[in-house]
Amino acid sequence: MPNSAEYICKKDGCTLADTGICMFNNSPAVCPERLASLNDVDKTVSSNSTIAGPVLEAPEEAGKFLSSYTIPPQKASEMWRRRDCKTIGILGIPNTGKTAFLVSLYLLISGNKLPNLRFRNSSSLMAFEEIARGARKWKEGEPPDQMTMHTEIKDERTAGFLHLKLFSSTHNRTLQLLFPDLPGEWTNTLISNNRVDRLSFLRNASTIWIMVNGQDIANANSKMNTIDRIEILIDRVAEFLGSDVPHIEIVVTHRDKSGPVREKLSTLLDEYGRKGISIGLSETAAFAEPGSGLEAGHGIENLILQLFNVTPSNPVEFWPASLHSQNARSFMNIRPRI
Amino acid sequence: MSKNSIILVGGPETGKTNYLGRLWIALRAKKYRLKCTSTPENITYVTAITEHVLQGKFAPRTEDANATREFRGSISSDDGTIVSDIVVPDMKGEIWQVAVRSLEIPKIWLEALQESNSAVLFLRARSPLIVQPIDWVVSQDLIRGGIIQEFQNDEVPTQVSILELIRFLDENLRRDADGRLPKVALVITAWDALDTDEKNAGPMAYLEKQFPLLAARLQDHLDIEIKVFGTSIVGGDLEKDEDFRNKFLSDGDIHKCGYVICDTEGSIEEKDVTEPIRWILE
Repeated sequence: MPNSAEYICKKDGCTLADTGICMFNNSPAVCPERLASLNDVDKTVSSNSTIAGPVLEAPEEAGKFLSSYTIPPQKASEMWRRRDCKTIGILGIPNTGKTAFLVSLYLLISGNKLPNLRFRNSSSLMAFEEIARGARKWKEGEPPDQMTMHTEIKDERTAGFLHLKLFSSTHNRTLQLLFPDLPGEWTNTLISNNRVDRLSFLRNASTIWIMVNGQDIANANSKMNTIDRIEILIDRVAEFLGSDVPHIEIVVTHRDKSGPVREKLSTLLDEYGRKGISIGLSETAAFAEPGSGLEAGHGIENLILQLFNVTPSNPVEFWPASLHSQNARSFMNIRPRI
Repeated sequence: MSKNSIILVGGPETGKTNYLGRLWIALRAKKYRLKCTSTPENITYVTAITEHVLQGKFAPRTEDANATREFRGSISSDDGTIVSDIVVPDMKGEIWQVAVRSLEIPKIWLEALQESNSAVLFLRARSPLIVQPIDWVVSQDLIRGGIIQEFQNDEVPTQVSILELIRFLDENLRRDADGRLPKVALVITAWDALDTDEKNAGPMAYLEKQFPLLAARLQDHLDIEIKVFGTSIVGGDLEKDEDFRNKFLSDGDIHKCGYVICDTEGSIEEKDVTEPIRWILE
């Protein structure tokens, strides 16, 4: 019979515990013999007790390995101080395809599909894998248009980094790349409110990528507004970084769906070039729309190879230690010149 | 007398336990490059494995995670250059699998890992458990054609799991006072399952083709020294190849079966089954 208070009776010879049937044929709920004997039962709970189950055992302490998910800013700062490490400042409002770009890069590298770039290492391998896995879930017949990064940002002022060490056969050397895992919303608030307090990492970026959905440029309804937002973004960044503004690359995504858009952005490129900003344009396609004539990952390898040419800038702490630190206070005092 | 602890690492059904059994058979025989110089006190674990192999079966998965699974012995090489006591802990494959997903491992096994100064890491060729998810980036025609239906795969690809295990070893293996890097033998088991071309190309070429991320990682800096081997403990499949099994039993000489393959200075060489351990200890 199962060990249970229901089957306790200390009456001599009672068969309740063995057969579940009281020797007097009483219902255990009301049998006076049983009810009396329950008062004497040792109520101390033990693992052998027939009154209750075993004591909850303290969970065995588990050992833990270090994580290879997104790299916290502190650790990223240490890595960035190495001469062979570059940070890419990626800005882009939501739905511009930043995540798809990174997933495409990761999958192409994992499958050794890029002729001139090879994987060497990643300290955030499981972060890439998690993003790619999230990207593998899709509705029937339709590849994902938007994938979200499953990262938990504990401190809303900071973001983690993805890390990739690559070898370029073109340059015959390796390079470590750090990509910040920024929510697209931060770009929105930079544009609309000049919110720069979370973007001090841009000071360390050797290149800034401004991601733009090519379809928004190709579409006459959205083209002017999209270009206007890009201009505000470049202005904000240039103002924030002053003379330290690095090369800015407009990275057009969804090129397989938009068709060529370079000509539509030529005025913008000329204008900022004249202002002395190093600016360029790359067209990419994480996926490949049938009939586009492009392959999945179009433009991605070239964009990465460009990074091997860029010289590093000086190291600065990524994130202010606290909002009350001297450095942070000075960031908070930035006001746009109107 | 040097002391070495060589931990066996690998997911479920990667061949760790069967390799250990075949290794014990070889060490006892005293006609391979490595041999046991005295019979270990407790051979319960390894004997249980060898009983299966000698009857033409692969040892089944052990269910009890807490069972004592280790081999201890005194080893020397045929040329006398190696003399060592060894401890070989063999953790249940599922524990490594969970560790990759959760970063957690029972404390006693983390301690066993941190007390080890070397490891054998197992990967089984053509295993049905290998995870190589469809690369949707380049498979979109198949998706659009409806050939690949709703596809959900939450499993970590095998090469990513192996990379994580390498990272765990890199970060946790014990460094000895002599300053030498801890050694990890990456052993591809069931080598006999590959086709002739794959076998002839050797273990590194196999990794390059099947697990390019893993092969690429091995070219980068590591704080451990890794060498890749292919192995077949009896030279064929005792479970799926009835003819092979019958021949194995009727020939009746285990010492004529099994081999290890390695890439050495540009050529592919065949060695005996003790080779990964011999390389670790040399």
